[in-house]
Amino acid sequence: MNIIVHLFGAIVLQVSALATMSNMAISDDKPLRVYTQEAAAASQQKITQRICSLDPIDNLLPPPQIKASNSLLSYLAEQGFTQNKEGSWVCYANDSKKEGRYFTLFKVKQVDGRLIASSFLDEGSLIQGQENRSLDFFMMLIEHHLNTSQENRQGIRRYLEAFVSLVKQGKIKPTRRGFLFDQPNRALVLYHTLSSGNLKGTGITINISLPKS
Amino acid sequence: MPKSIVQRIAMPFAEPLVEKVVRFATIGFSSVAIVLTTYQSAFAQLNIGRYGIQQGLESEYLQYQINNQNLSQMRVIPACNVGFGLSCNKTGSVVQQLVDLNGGTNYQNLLIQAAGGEKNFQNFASFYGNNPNLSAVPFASFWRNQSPAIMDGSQYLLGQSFSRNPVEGLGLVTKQFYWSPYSGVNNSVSLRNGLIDLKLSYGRLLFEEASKISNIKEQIQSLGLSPEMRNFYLNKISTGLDALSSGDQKQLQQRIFEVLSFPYSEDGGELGRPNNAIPGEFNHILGEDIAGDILLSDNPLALDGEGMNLDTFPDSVGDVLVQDSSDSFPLWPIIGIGGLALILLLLLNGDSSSAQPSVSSGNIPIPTPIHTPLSLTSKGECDLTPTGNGSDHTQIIEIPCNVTPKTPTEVKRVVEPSMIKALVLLIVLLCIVRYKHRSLKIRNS
Repeated sequence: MNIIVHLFGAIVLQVSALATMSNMAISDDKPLRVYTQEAAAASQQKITQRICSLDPIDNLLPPPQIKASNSLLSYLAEQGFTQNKEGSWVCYANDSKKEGRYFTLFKVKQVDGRLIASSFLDEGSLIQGQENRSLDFFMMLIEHHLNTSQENRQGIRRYLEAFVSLVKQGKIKPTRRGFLFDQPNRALVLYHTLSSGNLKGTGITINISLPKS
Repeated sequence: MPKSIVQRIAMPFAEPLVEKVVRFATIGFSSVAIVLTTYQSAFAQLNIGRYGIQQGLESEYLQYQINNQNLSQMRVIPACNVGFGLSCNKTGSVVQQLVDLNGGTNYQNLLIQAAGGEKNFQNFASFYGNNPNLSAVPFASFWRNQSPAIMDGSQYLLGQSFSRNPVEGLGLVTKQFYWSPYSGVNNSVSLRNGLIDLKLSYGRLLFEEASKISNIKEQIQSLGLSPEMRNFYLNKISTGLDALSSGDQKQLQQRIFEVLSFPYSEDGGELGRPNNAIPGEFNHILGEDIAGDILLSDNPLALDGEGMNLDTFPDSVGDVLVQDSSDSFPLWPIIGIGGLALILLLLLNGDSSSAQPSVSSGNIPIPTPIHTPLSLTSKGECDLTPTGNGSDHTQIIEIPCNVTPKTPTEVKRVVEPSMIKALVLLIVLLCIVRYKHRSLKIRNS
């Protein structure tokens, strides 16, 4: 009997010790959480300035084999993009539903005289803020690599905006079909399922021909 | 002088006309401001085909592509010297601008008036799924049974065709319109006829507003338009005003369609819309895509986990830290062992027959010796205060004290100090228990 009473006492003690510990842990956590929230707010602000927000992804990537060999697109580094070993410029996003999982959000690759640039929809849905960032991303490439006037680009942006909006509303079915939006540069936009790679879902992709210099 | 008037005309019109294009308002303003300088328009468009896609018609062009794969047969408004989007180069666009300039009712108000008031317009919109582009309908084309070749057709504005089947109750709404010649006698009106009634109702009001401007023809002549363009608009307006005053309903309807749907075209073309000459090869082009990938932080590459902590990435969000601490710091087994240790300790010291289970009572001698002998200094050293039989303890305790402060650093760099404290405490307890246990064994044997 005595033993049982002691046992009970010990459990109570143990519980209270645990409670103290967790309290300590929480109180130590608090300033940290505040800090991270501030950091999140700060990085939120950055998103409006940079197309690729800084998800802590860089160390997950192997170091690029060819450092800045592709000077054509190196301006994307300022937007938070990194160059992978194939020479493509990539931007990753953190999966909000699964910690530690990152997927390609934007990617642009030069293939011969063309640029192929994608905004990826993980499992077919856009993440928050992806519409505008996709437009900024595409327009940045168009501004750098297409011979267009300011008015012309306004039209292209309205067109792509309408396209992304219809994708969001589910009014464009994913196919391989390219929608022409600039004939001299053979610029196309397509909404397609992801056929290769380990990311599953869909993508909004533009293809543009680089002017021959 | 003419040019400045034109620009003043153009500005106010941008606002009401493009209600549909509210999202492009700023662009609308800037591009409409330069609207009548003919050569500008060549660049303010998508470069597609011979004439391009005029400013503000991008989403109609996209809808055309989606719904009609034959780009080669596309007929377009060839230029946009006046207006924006659907109103490009149409007479109604010029008339509305003159009405605005002469202090008449602007587009938005005229439209609501045509629809029988704000409330009735909302009722009307509910029949069309509250389509956001409904208020641009007056300038959309319904010609040739909504010809699929006309890029500014109403079906491309609204993203779908509306049927000719009568809809119960729509007639009650359209009868509230300022004018509704397409609504029959009963309450059933087709969705298509409802749209046409809205167009005609607005058109009639526009003519009535125009008729209040006594010198409208002179004003058009002073706009600085090319002679062909000026004559085109003058002709459309005067025949329209004649129809209004004649009271001939059929005539009036015909004139309204011309004023609101027929753009001025230098190159002619059926209904003022020449073929845009997009090569057939663009009807079906396949795009290229690239692959995306997934990275997981428990991937071997990621195990260099120290790069993931907060020092290196001040901008990183809390998730990463949470993930680190939960993954790498298995606290529960330690706590379990500690608990076990405590229980054993209690059992062993239990000979002091105290039967009070409550800890807070303070009668149990155990808690005090647990907390008093040890305190962790900032350096992580053990500061030992021996109690009763403390001399026995100290010998044993010294070993874990030297060892324990190192343990957390090995586990993870980001462990909170309070955790370490608790950990040290538990391990020390474990040692005590072990010692006690051993001495008990010796005693028993």
